[in-house]
Amino acid sequence: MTRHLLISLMLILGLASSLSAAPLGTRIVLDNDTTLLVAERPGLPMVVLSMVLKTGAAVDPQAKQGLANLTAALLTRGTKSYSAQALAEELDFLGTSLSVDAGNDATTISLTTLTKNLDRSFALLAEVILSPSFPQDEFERIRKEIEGRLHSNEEDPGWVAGKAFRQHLYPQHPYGRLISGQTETLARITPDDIKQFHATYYRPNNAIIAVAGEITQDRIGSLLASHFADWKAADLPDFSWPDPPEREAQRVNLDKEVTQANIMIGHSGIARSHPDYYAVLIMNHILGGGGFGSRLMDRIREEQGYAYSVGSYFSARKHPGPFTVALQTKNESAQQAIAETLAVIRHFRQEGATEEEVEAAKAYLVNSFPLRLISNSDVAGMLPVLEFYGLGLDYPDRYPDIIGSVTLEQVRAAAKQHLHPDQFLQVVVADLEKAGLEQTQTGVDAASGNTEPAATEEPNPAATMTE
Amino acid sequence: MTTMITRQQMLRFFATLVCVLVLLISFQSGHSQSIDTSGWQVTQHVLDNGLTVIILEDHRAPVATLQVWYQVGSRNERPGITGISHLLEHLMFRGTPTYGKGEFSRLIQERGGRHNAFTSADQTVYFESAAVQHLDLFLELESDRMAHVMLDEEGFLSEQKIVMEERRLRTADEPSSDLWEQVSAAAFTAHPYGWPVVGWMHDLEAVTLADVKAYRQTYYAPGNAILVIAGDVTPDSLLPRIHKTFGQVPAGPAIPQVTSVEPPQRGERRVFLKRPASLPLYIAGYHVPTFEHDESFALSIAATILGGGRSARLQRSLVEEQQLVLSANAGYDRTSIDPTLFTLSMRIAPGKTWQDAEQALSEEVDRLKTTLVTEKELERAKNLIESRFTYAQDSFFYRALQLGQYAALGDWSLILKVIPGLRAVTAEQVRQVAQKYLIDTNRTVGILEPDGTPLRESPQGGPGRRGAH
Repeated sequence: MTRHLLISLMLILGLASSLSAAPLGTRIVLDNDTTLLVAERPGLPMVVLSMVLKTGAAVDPQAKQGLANLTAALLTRGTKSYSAQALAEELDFLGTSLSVDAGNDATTISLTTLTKNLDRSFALLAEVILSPSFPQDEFERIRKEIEGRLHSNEEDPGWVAGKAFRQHLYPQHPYGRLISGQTETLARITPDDIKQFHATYYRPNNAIIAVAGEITQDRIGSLLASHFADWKAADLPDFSWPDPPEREAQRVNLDKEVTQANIMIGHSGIARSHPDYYAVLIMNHILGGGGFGSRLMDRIREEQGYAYSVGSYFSARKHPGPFTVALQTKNESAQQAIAETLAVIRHFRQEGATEEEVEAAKAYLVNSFPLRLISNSDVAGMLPVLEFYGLGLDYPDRYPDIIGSVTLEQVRAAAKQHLHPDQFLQVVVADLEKAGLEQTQTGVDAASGNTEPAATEEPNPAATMTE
Repeated sequence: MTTMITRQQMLRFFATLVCVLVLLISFQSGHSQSIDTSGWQVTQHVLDNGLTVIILEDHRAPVATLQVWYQVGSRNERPGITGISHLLEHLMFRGTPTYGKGEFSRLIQERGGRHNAFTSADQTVYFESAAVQHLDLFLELESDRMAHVMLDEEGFLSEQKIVMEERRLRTADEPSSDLWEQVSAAAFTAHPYGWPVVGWMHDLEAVTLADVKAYRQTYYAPGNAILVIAGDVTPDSLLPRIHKTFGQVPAGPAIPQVTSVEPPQRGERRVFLKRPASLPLYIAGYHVPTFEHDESFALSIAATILGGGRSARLQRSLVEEQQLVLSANAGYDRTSIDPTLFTLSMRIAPGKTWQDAEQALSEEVDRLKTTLVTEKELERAKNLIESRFTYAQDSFFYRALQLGQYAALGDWSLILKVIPGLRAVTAEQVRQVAQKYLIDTNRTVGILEPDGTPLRESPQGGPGRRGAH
């Protein structure tokens, strides 16, 4: 065992005892089936609340993609007692921030308020969740705004690459779609659809509410009792997920007047519940998830100078999300950079991680975990994720042991089991002539048999449920 | 990692950080100064070699953040070597005789720490965060590279390529950055704020290792740096450790001062940028003073009224009511070292013209000059700024960042003036700064007119090329 290994192990043991403490918060299930998670953290005169609805854009009807997102956007655009503008003025006057974000698997409502304004802020939250009015003019305007942003995003080569990547990776699957929908599908959505979606999914039995900050369990309990007494549980529709498609290797080259080739390589990855999750986490950290010192960063950036950033990522969601390697390099070096990247991955898969790498990755993951739970917003963000994936509020305490028990052999096996270079989808958005590449077709239609083009979008960190 | 922050990004970065510690102040006389507050304690100390040390005690969690603020950025550059501050920032990660290449990151990462750096027009900042027991390592690593970073040809050539890729990523292929660059270049004719932090591409190609070495020799000295530490620490135990590490770095030569002054603008300037993009963009930048001027508070309020929060005037009027633009923002960084720009920017909505949006924008700016804002609206802007300040205190990193920012202006405790200063602003003062600065002859307008399609036409319906390559 090398000196580094010894240090790493000592570091794991040392920090685990010094930073870990009691469970992150308390958990109760209310009479209306809402799960309430509370972290009492006095110190700053503020409270952060995060409400997660366990429904996201995945349930959007194929023809009405963008429904969950449009509903979320309209929630703060008028209620029974407030016009959109009156609500905006009141929130700003209180200094309260309130946002609603739809993701694939879930929708997150975030409230940050000064303690002194907690009552009034909470009343506005209840207003938004329980009594949105979905006015026609706001419906039209927000829909147009979303369409405008879709158009605007087309100038961003990274966005274009990401869209094509997921579109080709997940044809006929919710993860292949655009959360915000697209012009044609948005056009089919009616205000009644929005009202129906809200009535169906914005239900207490579909909700996790987490609070952190200068608040007590009694206080949040009485606020909920006084403002959400009429919120009633209701049966939720069944939703069956299709399996991610089997796939074979594919290359998609898109031509754009840019100075850099935007490259995305990958395939469908794993679900959060996969038993190999932690071995994959460590494996990917070594490959390209760990920033400086990772195999890809060392080779592609530090040694070759091909890219400013290069990384790999397993998006482990409720269902298997994508494994993605992304980099950008000047058009002229696109082919070499891709070849180098593939070589790094193949070599890593074949030869496996070293013991030293695995121990260093474990040390980082264990020792950095407590740093992700410092602020009130950190904690309010983490609590619902633990609930959503059934990890338990003692997860931070268990984490060192979970990571610590993963073996070198498991990490090496995870590379063989979960990296499939022979099945890679490669998307390149570049000035193809300068890159020496030929154009492939842009639409997914012919390749996948989709009746209409599907699409995806950049992951929204606020709406992506990762811990 | 390692990044550069352009002026407008800096604006956005600090927009959430405006303000202050609402504190009980007890000054001690002498070299070292301590401020005790309800839950806060700040100590300042100046080492013999000139290094300013600022320590913020925050015992909410057993963690600490360390930041080294070198008072050098693109503002200190000259034509021909633009971007050298940021390039040097990259090279500072290439190792020392004691900690070879890669060691720096490895040592921090295996302790679960985070580290990075950023460069702005005014400063270059390096930072680390981790559990507090690792602070000694950070002191050792940062003081070591302050004195002993190895700058060699191999590392230089590699980082030069990486920085050029960074410029392609963030500017060349990013239409809005491209336009901001053009506006700055037109607005500043004599002052270094006219060139981009990342540097012009040809300068990045032409700069040499010798240039970088000379630049480091000139600016990387304890007397030109501020060390900020925030976290679960006490100055009594920390200061001896700082003396043992940073205290051993020899004082450097005197630092050359930037003497450039932008002459008053006498007449509107307009720049047009034609390049591939989805939608037109519009930016107006007005020359304004910074923190040293009392008017900076009224300008901050004006920026918030126009562009801050959900109820901002530009949002309501241009985005919601007239639907001329997809987004509209106001920016003003009062902590800029030299006079800066007050900016108004818009992304034009599909089917609308920048001319109509400009007209609507002018009407909003005129309204600020002719009609006093109501007390309610004024109060709302102040509440908005103050609440965002409180929220920013949730993070140790941002607390340290605020201290460093104001320390770079001369004294960290200037931050104590911010909330009282903003609270004291009157509706009349807001009108006065609008009348004085938000005038056409004082502005530079940049307009991006899309030229070219986002994605070139491609053959439809053919089978995709299968197989890797």
